[in-house]
Amino acid sequence: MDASFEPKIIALVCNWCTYTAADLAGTSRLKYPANVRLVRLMCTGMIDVKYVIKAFLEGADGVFIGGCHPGDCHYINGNLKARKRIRSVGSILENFGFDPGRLTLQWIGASEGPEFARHMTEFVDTIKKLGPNPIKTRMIL
Amino acid sequence: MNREIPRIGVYVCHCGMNIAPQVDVEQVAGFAGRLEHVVVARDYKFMCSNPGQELIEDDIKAHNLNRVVVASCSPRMHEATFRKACQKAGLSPYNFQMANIREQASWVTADSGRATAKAKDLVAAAVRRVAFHHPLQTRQVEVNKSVLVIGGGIAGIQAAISAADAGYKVYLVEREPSIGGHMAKFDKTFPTLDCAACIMTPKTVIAGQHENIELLTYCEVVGLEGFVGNYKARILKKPRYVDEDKCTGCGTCMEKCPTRKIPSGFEENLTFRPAIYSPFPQAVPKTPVIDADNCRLLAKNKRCGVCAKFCEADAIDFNQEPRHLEITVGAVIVATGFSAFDPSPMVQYGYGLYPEVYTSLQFERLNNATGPTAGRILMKDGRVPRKVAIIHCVGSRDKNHLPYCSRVCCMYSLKFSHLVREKTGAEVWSFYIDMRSPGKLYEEFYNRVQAEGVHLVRGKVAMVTDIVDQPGSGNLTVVAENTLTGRNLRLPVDMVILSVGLQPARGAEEVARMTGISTDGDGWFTELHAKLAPVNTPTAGIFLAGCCQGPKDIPDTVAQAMAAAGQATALLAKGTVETQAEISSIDPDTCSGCRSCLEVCPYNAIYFDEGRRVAVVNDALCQGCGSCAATCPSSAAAVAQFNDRQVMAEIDAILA
Amino acid sequence: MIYGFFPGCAYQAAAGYKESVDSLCNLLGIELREIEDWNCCGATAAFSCDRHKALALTGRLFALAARQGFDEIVTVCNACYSTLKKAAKLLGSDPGLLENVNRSLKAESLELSAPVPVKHLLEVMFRDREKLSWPEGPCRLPKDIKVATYYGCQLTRPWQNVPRALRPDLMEQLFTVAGLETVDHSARTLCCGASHAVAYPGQCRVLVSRIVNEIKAKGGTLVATICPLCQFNLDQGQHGSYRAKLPVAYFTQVLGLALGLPPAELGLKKLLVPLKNIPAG
Repeated sequence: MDASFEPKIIALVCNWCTYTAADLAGTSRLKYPANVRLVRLMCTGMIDVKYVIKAFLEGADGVFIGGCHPGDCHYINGNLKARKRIRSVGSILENFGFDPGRLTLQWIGASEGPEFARHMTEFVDTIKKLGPNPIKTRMIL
Repeated sequence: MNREIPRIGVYVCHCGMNIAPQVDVEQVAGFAGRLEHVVVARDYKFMCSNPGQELIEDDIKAHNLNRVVVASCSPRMHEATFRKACQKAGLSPYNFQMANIREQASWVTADSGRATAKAKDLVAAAVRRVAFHHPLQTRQVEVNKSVLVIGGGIAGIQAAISAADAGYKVYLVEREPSIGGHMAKFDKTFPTLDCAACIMTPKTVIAGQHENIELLTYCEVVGLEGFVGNYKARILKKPRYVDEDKCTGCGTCMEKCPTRKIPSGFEENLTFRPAIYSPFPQAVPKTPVIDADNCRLLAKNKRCGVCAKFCEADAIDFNQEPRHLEITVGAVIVATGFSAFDPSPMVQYGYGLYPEVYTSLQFERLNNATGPTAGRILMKDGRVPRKVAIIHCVGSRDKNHLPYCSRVCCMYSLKFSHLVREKTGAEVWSFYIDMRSPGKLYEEFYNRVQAEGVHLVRGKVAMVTDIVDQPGSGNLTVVAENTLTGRNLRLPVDMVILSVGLQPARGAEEVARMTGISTDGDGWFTELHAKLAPVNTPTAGIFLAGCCQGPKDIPDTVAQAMAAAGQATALLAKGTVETQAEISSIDPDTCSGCRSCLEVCPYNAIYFDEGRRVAVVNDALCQGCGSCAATCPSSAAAVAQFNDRQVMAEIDAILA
Repeated sequence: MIYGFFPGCAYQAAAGYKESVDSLCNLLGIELREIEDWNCCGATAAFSCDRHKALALTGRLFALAARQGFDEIVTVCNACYSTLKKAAKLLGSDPGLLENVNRSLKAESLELSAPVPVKHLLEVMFRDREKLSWPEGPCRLPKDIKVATYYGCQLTRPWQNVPRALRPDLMEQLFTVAGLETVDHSARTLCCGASHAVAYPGQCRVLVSRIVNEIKAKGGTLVATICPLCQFNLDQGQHGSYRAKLPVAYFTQVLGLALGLPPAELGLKKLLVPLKNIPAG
């Protein structure tokens, strides 16, 4: 493992829970690795599978998806639809040559600032262990 | 779509010392200036200040900008501010994007260089994205001029009165047979020792008689749909078996009912009530209800009907069935309150084992003139206690039960101390972890009670037991450590009061689900902003009042109820609301008519146009969740402001 | 039922504990298979002096039990129970401690991968009560003997292993199976001070008399205990008292009497405060 490897991670998060949790982590001045870039969406239910694949093809080392806890979705059940969709994309990632561990879906509620920071830290660790997105080297072909 | 060439202005905020110097704002502005389509990029001390906003407005005019990016705090904070500034300068508010470099960069990143790098990425993403923004249309929708208040405790009552006084129709829904809630059970209130009934009864009477308030007692809200200004609520009206219009509230039925041994919930099971009952003498409405689970006729199918025989008004109706009502309102105030912690699992305190261990609510009833002892503090054997122990923080500040401070228990425990001293002259021993008395005249009340000779012991009680070392010295022994003297204590007492904590009301979870309010880890409803939007929720038109949002005392509850009513009536007074622009649309030229979107839409907002064989979004119902967009196999469905190009542009820029 | 049995050091010499456990198990169809080559658990004293040695002592027991094919260890003593449970918790959560213990166990070619769950005989008898062969017939204990249970302080503290841990009722429920009713009282888990009986006899006496007085006040005439230390301390702690003394027996003795085992087989003669009015046998 290359110690200097700093992964780039895309986090697709819902406006109501996980984005708010990120705000709370900020307000509480909780420190977490700077490798994560948040993309705010209204609901995880609007995450198209192609966003995930696009991110990996563009070289993202990991994709984090954060939504409301089951039952807390602002739009009734968008998070459950996301879970279904993310499961299916997870199962085909391997065929593309990506470790399925590079994609994760977590429920982080609006009041869970510390949880948000913890998830970010853990996911960055996981991705560091997995190493850089293989597409970056393969593209040289 | 006309493809005008984007001319973007980028503004990087210092936020005083909050973003700069951790993020090198000048470097970020310089970087932004070199991005494609960026015409002007600046950094400024406070973008949200008036001069900051004017900076944007002036640039829009001077540089003919058609897109604006502000890199500052969370859009949840100031998106509306900057959108308005754009609008003032003649730009569509939707041609704007925020990059959150405070909550997501300067505040959370230890290393300054990495915080700056992250800020640059976020700005680049916003710039790339905003190029694909375009003006959106909204409509004005009329607001229904009525309010639904869920919960008839002091919070709900006050909110209802305030909204009704402003001239709006209010539906006040309470699941119990009477409004009044917990406050109706209290005797005195701290720190002024006002009689709770004396200050509460006028309120319940006003609520009961107000021409604008429709009381829906013994009712439950079972469904809520719609959106700000136009909510439809389904209400279950449980059968009372007593006709509210005919009943005069004379009470003969309650006197004659032969089933009398049902533990009274209102009296905290200290005494009994009949099967036909009104929870307390000042109940509003006065109409009693028949408890169908315990009625001889309804539950056991025995020949009875004694109440009906004696009712001169002929109001008893055993054939009533549950009914559903549907009402339309413009705003909803949730005031579902709390429930008291049940101390039975804390076996060490002996509640339920020893008859002289009381919860605080039971003790309130013991003190109340209408309670089981007519307000005299007596033990179950009728004697006056000589020594009383009060245990604070039962359940509260305990990681095994309620991790938080319940806020009111120290003060009501002091009130109890005072009442015991005043009414019985008994010795009072009050065991606390920390004494918390913040509030107007609260510390003064604490000092007063101290001066009355109450023994205040700092230490959590280990055990209450009926093992008494010296026979005749009391019924119970309180085992505790006085942490200030370091001594262990075995204190014989006659009576123990457990100052139990507050937890969310039974059924709060269900209300949260229905109204889309999120709850914190302890189950309390989460307000929109802890400081600046304490009665609002993330769902427009739904407001919070009282303890459902967290433990609070009566003054705070009433203040919050008035605030919630103020917010709700402000919405109603405006008369119209602007519809959301960020909703879905389906391009009829691309739609293949597969109907996948119809299945996933949680609001039934998509219908199928049989003539054109395409799916169509009903923009009055669509909430913009994007389920359809993510499902559509032909990418015909898209949510405005979150379409594929905009999201992909953001991802592209981050990974560039 | 076959259980891996750890008797502990006090068991053999305890007043009729071994006799009554043997007779009762024989009657109910329980086989207690002793862990071969067992050693002292070290009790609380070992932990206070040297944690590594305390863990090595208990670790050795776990390793032996595992090697001899037992998936749980059954004890009859609260001190053994608490010591083993504490060790199991430490060894199960800290790989570093486990590694140290294994280094010591190497000398005997023993190896411990994970601690074995620990149960009191009362717990397993209660858990498996439906699988035991209970004899038919009414309770043989004379009606005028009113039994009060006493669990001591170490069975449930801090484990919270049974419902209402401060006022457990495992023994009560087990006794009901044999048709035996008990008196309710509040001293079930109070500490009797057994560990300090020698060093601080004065303080210990206060604790013992509090328990004895409470049981007497609630109408109890016989105490059922589950630990050799509690039994001995409560029994001898009444020595020299002017008040009427309360006999203190083991739960296995009480259960044996209720099920009609002859008193001679239950070692009842060894009790210091004699149990009178029992059917001869």
